[in-house]
Amino acid sequence: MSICLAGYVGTVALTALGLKKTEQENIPAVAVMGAAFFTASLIHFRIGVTSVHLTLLGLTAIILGVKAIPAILAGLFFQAVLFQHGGISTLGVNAMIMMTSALFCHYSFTLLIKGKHNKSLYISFVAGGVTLLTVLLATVMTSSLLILSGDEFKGLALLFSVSNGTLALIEGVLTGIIINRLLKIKPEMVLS
Amino acid sequence: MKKAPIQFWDYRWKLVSLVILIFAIAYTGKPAAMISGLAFSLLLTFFTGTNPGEAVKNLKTPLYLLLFMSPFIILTPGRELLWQLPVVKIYRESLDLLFTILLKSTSIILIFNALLYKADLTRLMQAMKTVGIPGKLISILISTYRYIFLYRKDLVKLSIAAKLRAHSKRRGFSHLLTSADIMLTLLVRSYEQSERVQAAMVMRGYRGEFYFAEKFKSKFSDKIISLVVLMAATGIILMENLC
Repeated sequence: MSICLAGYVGTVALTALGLKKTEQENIPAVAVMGAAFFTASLIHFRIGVTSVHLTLLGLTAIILGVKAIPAILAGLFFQAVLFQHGGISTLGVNAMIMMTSALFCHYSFTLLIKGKHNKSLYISFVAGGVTLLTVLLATVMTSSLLILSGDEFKGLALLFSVSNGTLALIEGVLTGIIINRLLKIKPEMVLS
Repeated sequence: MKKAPIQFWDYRWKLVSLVILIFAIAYTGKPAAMISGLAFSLLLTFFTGTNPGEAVKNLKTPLYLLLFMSPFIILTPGRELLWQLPVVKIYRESLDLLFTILLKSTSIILIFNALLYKADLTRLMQAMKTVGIPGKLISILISTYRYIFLYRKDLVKLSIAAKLRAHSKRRGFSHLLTSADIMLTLLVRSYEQSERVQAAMVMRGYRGEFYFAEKFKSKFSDKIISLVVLMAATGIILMENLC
């Protein structure tokens, strides 16, 4: 319960930051892009006999920047409300983990591509690498919180880490490919 | 069509009292408090006229997930050994955890189902704004809600087109490339649309806030129902601390 409440406190602080950075006139654009990311994350990706849903956390952060924070919150809210994925009591913790990881992704991507805007292959590799690290960071934070909740959650934390490690790799490759193609057809989406 | 009793409950009172109840149940850890939470959520489902079929449907996914996770939970080492089989050991702490997750998640999903049963989401967001959620965030939620359905339709069309081109038979990296192309199409389209939507809304006088024509009017019965729910939440917390 204390972790749930701490999650809500963190989410409130990060949402306040995200909303401050979102100009009122930009709200429709943030919402439309947020909805697109949410929908794109519904695409199944096959791994052997099973399939996974991607989070598109890195891609959202790279394209929307700090404005990804309210978009992530909206996405998680509708996941809970429309599809009953995740609960309202854990919404704060989930949102805080995803928002922190998205901020890490945005700032590291911006820092690493500074002054190298004409090197599209380099930018694509950076995007893929940063996304991989972002998903791994989110996984480490979730697993740590699970372990902090009690020793009995250790097994679950291990299961979660293994499955998300594979997901991180797929997300990294996919984001690299998408960013590479975006740089050719719509570079302002990545470099603005 | 006859309305269920829950549909007459003022959205603001319903939102506040049921969210408090959810947090009260999330706080519990002792069997008596958790069982009381489940009993109250079942009573709530029954008395508010929530469709039991819908509640069962909403419970399916989390219960399947729990079923999938249960071997991992049961096999987690603890302190007090209950049974020792040739290969596996089962500890009390693991069974307690499984029981806790099952009871709490079932109760919370039932309450969440009551909160959303036949609810008008725009009205629910209006209620969220009234209880202090920032207007900017509500605007983002309302717009996102509108476009999610639009893009889901787009996604269905793109997926059918991909299937017609035998995409469903592809595996590995080739599948990844096609999935990337589908996502790219969706994102580029939405980016262009977002610019058009933004320009159109600003031209129509949009300054970052949605205004709702209909106002809320609470009745005495709304307050009574909320009071009962809040008393139940207090009772559950007291039971957790005193039992």
